[in-house]
Amino acid sequence: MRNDMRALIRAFRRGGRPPRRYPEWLTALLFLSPALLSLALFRLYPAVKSAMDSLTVSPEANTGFAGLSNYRYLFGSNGFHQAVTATIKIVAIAVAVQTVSALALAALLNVRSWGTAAWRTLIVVPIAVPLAVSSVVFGIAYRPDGPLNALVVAFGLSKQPFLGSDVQAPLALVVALSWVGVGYWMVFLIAGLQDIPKQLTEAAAVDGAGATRTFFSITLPLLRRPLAFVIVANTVANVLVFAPSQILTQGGPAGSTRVVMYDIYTRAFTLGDTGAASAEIVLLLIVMLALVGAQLRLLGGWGR
Amino acid sequence: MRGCKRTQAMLVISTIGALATILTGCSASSTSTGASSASNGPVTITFLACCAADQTKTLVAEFEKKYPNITVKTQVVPFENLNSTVEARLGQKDSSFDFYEADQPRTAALASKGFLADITTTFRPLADPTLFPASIQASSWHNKIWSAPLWTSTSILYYNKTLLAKAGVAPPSGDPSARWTWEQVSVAAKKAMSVGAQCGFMFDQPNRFYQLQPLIESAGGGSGLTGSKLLTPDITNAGWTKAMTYYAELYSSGITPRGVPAEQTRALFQNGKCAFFLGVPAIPTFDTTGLSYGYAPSPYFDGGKPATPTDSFALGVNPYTKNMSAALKFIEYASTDTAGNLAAVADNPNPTPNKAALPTFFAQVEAKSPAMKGVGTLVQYELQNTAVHRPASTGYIIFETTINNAFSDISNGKGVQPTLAQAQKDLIDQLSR
Amino acid sequence: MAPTVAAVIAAAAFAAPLYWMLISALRPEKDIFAYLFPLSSQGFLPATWTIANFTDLLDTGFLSTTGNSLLVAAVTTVGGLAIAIPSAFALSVLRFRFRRVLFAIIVLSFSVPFDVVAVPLSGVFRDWNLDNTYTGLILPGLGNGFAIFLLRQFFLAVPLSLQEAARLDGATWWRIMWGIYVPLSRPAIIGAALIIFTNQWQAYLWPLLVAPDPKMQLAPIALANLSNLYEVHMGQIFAGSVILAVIPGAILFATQRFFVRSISATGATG
Repeated sequence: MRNDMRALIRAFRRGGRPPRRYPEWLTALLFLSPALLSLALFRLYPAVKSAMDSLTVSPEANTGFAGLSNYRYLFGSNGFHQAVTATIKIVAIAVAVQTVSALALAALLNVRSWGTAAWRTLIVVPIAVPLAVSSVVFGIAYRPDGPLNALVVAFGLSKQPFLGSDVQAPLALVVALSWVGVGYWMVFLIAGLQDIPKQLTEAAAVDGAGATRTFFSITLPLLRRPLAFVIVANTVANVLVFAPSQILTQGGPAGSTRVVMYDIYTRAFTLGDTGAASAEIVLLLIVMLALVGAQLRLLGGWGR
Repeated sequence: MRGCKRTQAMLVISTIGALATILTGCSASSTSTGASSASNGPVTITFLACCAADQTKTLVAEFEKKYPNITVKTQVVPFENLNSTVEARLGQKDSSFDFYEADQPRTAALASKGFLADITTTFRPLADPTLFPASIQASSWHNKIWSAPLWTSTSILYYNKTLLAKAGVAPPSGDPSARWTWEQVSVAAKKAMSVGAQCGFMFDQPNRFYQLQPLIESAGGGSGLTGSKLLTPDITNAGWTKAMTYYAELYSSGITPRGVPAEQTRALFQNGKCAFFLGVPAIPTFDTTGLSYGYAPSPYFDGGKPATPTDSFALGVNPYTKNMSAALKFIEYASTDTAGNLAAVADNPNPTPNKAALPTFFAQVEAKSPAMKGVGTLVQYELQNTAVHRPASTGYIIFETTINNAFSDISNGKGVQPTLAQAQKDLIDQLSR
Repeated sequence: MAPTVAAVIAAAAFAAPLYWMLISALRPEKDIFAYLFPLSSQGFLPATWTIANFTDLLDTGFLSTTGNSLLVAAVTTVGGLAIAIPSAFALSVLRFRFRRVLFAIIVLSFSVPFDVVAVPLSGVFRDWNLDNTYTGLILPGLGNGFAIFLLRQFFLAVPLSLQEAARLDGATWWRIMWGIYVPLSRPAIIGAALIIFTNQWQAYLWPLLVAPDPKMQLAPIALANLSNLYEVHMGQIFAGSVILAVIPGAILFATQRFFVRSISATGATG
């Protein structure tokens, strides 16, 4: 580096054009600096503050070090247990459903023709509706005396409890989340599919491979990187979202939809228990770190 | 090149570290000095209110007419976020608003956290002669007054005349001393459903403590919080069990449809689908659908005392305000001044806590709505005789959140005893923090 | 033929709630909940139409709040792309020691839930006098880890030979980024723009805390303000949602033609 700097200074003193080669890491730092600044300001600093709060703020110790008492309280709390179970269930199902559906729809709508632009738009446009409103609309649909049950009854089945049942409620939430999510993730998979050269799939067809064989042997492997993005980002997004839990079920029935983010929100804002909320945030971050890391490794998304 | 790599690493880490340190330093200097301006020049005060700005438009306009020196800016927050936003901002010692709408049952919690300014000295002499004592009490804690009552509330039993006639049921009497029992309501509701009513009985706000507390109190269950500081939950006693069993049966027998959120209950009654509806007096939308309805006093449990819910929002002063005197003038006008209080309900019809304003308000209501004739007298009776306040506990918010979840589970069919027992455990857990 | 049928069915299923919102917005408010159950024709096709919900909504100044939302989202998108593209480029093309670690840090830090960060951050913004300003609304939305992640994945797919050739010609990294990578990654850039835009368009808690002044209000909050303890203007809320969906919907429809295939991976470039 010293040699590079010396060359730079010599060049400037000469008054001529500076050598084109700046050290790569310096360019990288410059390119990354706005993002790093944003990161430090709006994410790292508050995350660190949360971690500190979790260790210092507690009813037992008004100042000073409270140690792991907040964590101990959390692990013994019924609400926290419900939160963990609910989150695992909902996130796992949502990620699976949304990724597979987005992939299927992306493959279906990858063709470029007048109709598909319209269908694609219709499937993606739910993301423009405020989440609070779409939650209310689904809430109305799920009412025991609502339109979904009207359909169900018309088919001869009995009325379903939907949001009133602790078995059906999490699934109902997944559907509400997927209405928005599938279109969103489909966009990135279509972009990924567009990147695959047509020659490859055409060559496979010439060789006699069927549509499914082509899809699984050629298309899917080439979609690895966009797919890695979708799975990781989808997981994080589903862990962070809690508006449907808040608006539709308030975490019920019997805590079956009380996802961790909603639990944190309730502890922080309604119960005013900053210590436990901060502890829960820290735990959530650790788990997400592990999950994202593992996914990236498994999906080979680390890249070069 | 090894030194090069170490340098780049240090540069990156130190940049991030430096920023983080600067920020932690910055946030520490966020306390503001609450110096109050005693100037007589033009003053601007900021009002943190709920919902659309035109809900308090008349009040603000009338106040500015009376005090031309003072301009009022309104900051608006959606209803479901009002309480949490207030607490979030006051927790940051935000002085950018001077007074706000404070839910009366939260008085103890807000005052104990230092989110309300003590207004006793200037407010009590104005309040005692003009406001109902119950309303003043709802804004008090530890013998001090913390907010100026803006509205109050009660509930009455609406009934659908057409459906009752069809079922051959005589409508309940309007006389408070001859009010129906809850048992009578169930019987009548079932009869109405047998002749085709989609729903027999509906609460205005299902699964909310505000609406259900009167049932519990009437069954002898107390308010749910006991002890010297009202921090000991007591929700598994006989009264609670009796009230909750009745509540569960309403849903399990189909009299009350499940899964209808509070924002959509009124639509059911106004579309003629429900025989009975328990709600606040004066719901203007009931007159828009050609519905033939009447009203009666709120029911009670046979063998218990009649009980009605009460209290609503009040105006609290931000302890970090820089315009204390101007803010006080506003809240006093909105609460104790008759014309002011009437202006406060002009855009948001609610019973008033102001003794002089109440009859005028209900005269207006009855003029607009012929079915509500005489409701003013009933409301006054209930406010003075059967109103039960929510417990003035610093843990009220925690209590209400958990207990509302328990109500929701019970309405969805979960067993009464186990749900209440679990909620009791959770409350002991949370209230001890 | 079969794929088209499947596509139409899928699109219809997704459009159904939007359709219901539209017809609810176009009928008198008292009718919205009248035809839910049992199944009736009026549930699908109202007998009485009215535009009262739309006119009432516009009376509340909804157009200006939509304008606010559009302005904030547009500026955030442009600014966010300006930050994300160089960052993704640095993380995928440039070689330096901590590349992978930095990538991990960026993705993971932006996974920190913003909602719990929002409260203390809003206090800080207030101290800096950024409350009730457009800047205050825009700033936190500029850095977006997912946009960076997405662009990085797509930049990794661009063959190295292209930039090696350009370097030999003496091009700076900046030129390479804007001249080679960006044109080749149009779908990814649109995707990144979508991420940043949606993030800001759906923002609720942050604008609530930082900009409660009615003049600075954003659309989702304006809609929430239409319901209070005693009255919920469902018709207006749905009318507002239709407006909020149509605008990005039109933009989405128009930008579909940019979803063209990028140049194939044989390395042939101009």
